[in-house]
Amino acid sequence: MPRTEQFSSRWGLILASLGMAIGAGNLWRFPRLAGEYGGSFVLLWILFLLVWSIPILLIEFALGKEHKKGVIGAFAGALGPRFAWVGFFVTVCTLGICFYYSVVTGWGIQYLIFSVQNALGDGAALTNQIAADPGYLADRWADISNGNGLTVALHVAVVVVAVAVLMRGIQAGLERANRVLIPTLFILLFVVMGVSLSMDNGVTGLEYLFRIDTQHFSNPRIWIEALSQSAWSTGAGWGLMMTLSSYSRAREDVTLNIFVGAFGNNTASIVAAMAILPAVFAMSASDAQAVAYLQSGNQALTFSVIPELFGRLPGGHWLAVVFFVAFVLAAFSSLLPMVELFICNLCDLGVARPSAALRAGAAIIILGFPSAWSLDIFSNQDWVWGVGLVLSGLFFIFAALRSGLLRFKRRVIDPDSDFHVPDAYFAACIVLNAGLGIVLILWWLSRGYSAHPWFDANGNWSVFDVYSNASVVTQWVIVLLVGIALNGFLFRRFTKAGA
Amino acid sequence: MSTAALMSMLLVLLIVPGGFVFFLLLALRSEAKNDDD
Repeated sequence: MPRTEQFSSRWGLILASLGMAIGAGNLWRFPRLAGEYGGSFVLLWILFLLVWSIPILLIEFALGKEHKKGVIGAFAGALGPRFAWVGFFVTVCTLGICFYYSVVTGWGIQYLIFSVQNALGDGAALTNQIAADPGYLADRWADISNGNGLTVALHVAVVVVAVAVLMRGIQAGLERANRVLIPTLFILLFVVMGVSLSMDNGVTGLEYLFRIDTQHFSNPRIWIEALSQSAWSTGAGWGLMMTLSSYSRAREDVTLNIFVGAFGNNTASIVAAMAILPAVFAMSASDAQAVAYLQSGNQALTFSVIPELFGRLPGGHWLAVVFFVAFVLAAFSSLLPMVELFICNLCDLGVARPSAALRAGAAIIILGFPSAWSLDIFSNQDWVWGVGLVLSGLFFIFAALRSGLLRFKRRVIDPDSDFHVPDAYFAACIVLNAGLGIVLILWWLSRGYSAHPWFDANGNWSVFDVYSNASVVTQWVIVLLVGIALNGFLFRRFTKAGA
Repeated sequence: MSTAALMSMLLVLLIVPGGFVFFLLLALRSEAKNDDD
């Protein structure tokens, strides 16, 4: 059915874009990498914002605005009857992340409750507990992330709340929620930043965050990490901006809205890093220990290191409460557009919004259950679809190239935009990104996270290994084959149903 | 904090949050254009 909903104003669309982009990655991945590699990483991350993320987001926004459809319908409309499967892959890839993202939000809620309990109880209790049992928080994390009924219950509860919000529609649901979530999130991040920076030795964290070590530039890993962080964090290639822009007003600006969202996302990342790194350095016994904490991984940093370090500070339990409220808000604000992507596709099939929201919610609850129950499955899905997003990004580039890159820009991106990015910049970035995306996929697959990337010790296809390339390729190929098999059906249903 | 790190911090803050505020103000200023539609 034709689009009847739209954002009430540019401000509503911008807040939704910020909510989409600012997520858990801003709080648990960016500060970790920025602390590890310092200013060299931050500069490359800004470079890739301009080279990778903004050009792809421009394409996403333009396709959504032009076709006024969800991801499958917009790709089918842009690429024609032979390529409806492209939108199907992008949709499944982002939903693959959506299915476990409610679990991340649920983890945040559990740690928020834990922080509140610590803050309301004896402030020294957690510190004493850790002194008696140094593995206390690690054990707690292991318990929460595997076979935990409360984690599953919170996964269900988070999806129910998301569905309840989105069932109300774009203006009354998504837009109204983001009017509260995003300003609150920024305020909370500034509070944590202010407290962290006022700690003794907190400035050391800033030194690590901003010091440029030119030797890092010769390390290919930092380039790849910066590109990956920008791609994942801004939401470039996820199809989420495409979904949001399908609800944009007829003459909505493309370029300026993308620049606001992209720079706003990076601002949240910088503020988060300036909140977390000073605290980590101030509360660690030594700089070496602080760096070791930062290298402990996203989940360990957030759910083990931060509660422990904040707990050492007088009144630090309340700081932990503020941090985890911010974490939950960030995760939930990113979950909403992922669920909306699902709903939007169902609405394109002619399903009424309330029914579409309920169906999407039921599917997310069921398909997210394995990740809620098992950290291995969660990690596998995070790996498979996280790398898959780069392939999705390449599909957006393909769509723009096939539409005639500069013709596409002049027809859809430029007309209603207050300012235009230069043709040469846009074209050069898109062509460069086609190569960068392929390099990125090959790099991640060559990282060798798995001891058996393709075949296990018995010579069998290593499909059930959490981080194996075999698992990545198998799941991608299955989705691509299903999409290609359903191509004719997808094209007819997603283009004709809405005609 | 070293001078080099301080300069780097100011540069990043100028580009990223500075850019965000700049583009945000620009967007809000031109909002009237769409309101007229």
